[in-house]
Amino acid sequence: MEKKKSCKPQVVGNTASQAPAKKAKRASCKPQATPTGEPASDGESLVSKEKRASYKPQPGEKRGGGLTKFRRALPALVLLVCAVAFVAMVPLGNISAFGWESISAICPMGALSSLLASKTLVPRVLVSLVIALALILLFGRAFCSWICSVPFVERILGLRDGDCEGGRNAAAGKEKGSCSQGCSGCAKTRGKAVDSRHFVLGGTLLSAAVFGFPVFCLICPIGLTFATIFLVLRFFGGSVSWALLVVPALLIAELFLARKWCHRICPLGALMSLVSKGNRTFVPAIDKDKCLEQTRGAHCGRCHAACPEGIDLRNLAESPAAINECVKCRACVEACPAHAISIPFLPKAGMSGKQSCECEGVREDD
Amino acid sequence: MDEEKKGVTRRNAVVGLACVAGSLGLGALATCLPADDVLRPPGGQDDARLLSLCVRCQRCFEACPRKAISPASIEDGFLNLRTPRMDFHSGWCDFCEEENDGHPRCVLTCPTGALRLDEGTGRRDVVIGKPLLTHDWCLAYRMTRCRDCYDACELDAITLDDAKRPHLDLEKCNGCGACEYACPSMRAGSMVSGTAHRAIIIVNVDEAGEV
Repeated sequence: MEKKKSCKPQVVGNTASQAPAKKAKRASCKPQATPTGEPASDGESLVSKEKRASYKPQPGEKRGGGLTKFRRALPALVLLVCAVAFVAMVPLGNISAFGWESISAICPMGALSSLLASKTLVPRVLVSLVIALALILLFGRAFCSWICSVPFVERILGLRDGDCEGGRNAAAGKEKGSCSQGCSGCAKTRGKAVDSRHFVLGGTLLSAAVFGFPVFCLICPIGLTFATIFLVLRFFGGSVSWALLVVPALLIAELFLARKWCHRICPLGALMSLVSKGNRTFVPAIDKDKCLEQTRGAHCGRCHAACPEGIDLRNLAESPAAINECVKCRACVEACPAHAISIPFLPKAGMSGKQSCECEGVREDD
Repeated sequence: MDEEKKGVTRRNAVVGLACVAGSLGLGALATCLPADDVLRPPGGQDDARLLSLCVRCQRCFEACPRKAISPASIEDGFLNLRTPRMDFHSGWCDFCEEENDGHPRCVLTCPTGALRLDEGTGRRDVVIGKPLLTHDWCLAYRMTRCRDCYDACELDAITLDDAKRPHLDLEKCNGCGACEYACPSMRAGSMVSGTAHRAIIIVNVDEAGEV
């Protein structure tokens, strides 16, 4: 119930005094040039006529190259490998705690919760937590788009279309552009300002400390997904319990009741986006010498429209989501008709990326 | 601008309060709902400690070479859901004496130390549970001369009387579950009407005995 509130009140505060600002923001969210859209400036029509012939038009429909296919398949592959390992009695674990024998990488959310709940410093939990934080610093929120099973389950349940959360809504609202537009208005800038995810993060950690058990682990959709798989496998092994119904029901109820789980609820995502503020590697950047908007003054915006997090790489200063929300999914790389976007290991000079975001905003205003 | 700021702050406060209240509510709900004391794997006997550290990662279920650990179901209480409990229908626990020199694999694998055995403690020091023998359902008490539990027990916690019927020596039992695993009652062809579970099962210490 509370979850719905988090996104509704977009209208709140929409007073005359700030209407222009809002309008400007909304304009930047729209893909200024949908292929079927209105005729735009001369520069654009010149470019886009040739471009349109050679590049697939619908930004949302482009399915991308091998790497994107691999990324889409990876969460399913992880589930499959864990399931096979379970059947083969090879104790590999799952995302919650992956490893071999006494070595395992624990989910940072679980590690933090159990430290707070037990109020003891367990060495292997601490080590695991530090490693997890280091990985987040290195890869940002890549976990969310490459490994996490929630988007995969959401796609199965029809709650997600491609990389966009919101399922059919997002599909129907394709002309509206950016995947996460529905929620980008929730916080002022997702990832910069505090939003509902951060409150869930703080709340569950507080709750873990108060009630003495890792509260979020009880309902974590990743854990429930793996639990469902294991329960089904155990069912075929002849073991029956009500959990076989309750666990998947809980998982489905969560994802249905809290549409856009990742954007509104997920405390793991919130934790990662907080840590990702220190992420300086694998940050997508636009090569200004190639970007159609920079070189020809065209209106394109496909990178923004493709981004499942709603990040506007062209203008990070006014982007509805900050760069630390980047899940490294490469949707922008695939969407760019001019191949101007890359995700380099280290930021390159002369590219608009994290480092130059402030100057970028100033320049566009000029 | 001021009004927008105020609106955002108020909305944020409401959303934030709702999220925090929801999280606390979930914790309170799980704590308040009735939950059974379930039989824990080796090293998980301090239930509060186990619950505070267990992240429900399922590593121990996988690690158990005899599949004697299963995820607790909703019947065991919402709080216990997916935490480890002993399941003596598919195996019993010898603290991995055969498989790993007496170092239980579940304890070894547990990533958060929710299952933990102190150095030097083993099979003889830890009590998982105690047996409950129901005479009405026991085949030996129907003069079938069944002695499967007696044969299975490695700790000599079961004795046979003159009529070859089993009796328990609660002191010696550590709740390894070998007797429950071996008990043929409630299995195909040996159902006594009214039977709810096998004639000998491992239960919490305070429920143990013979009835």
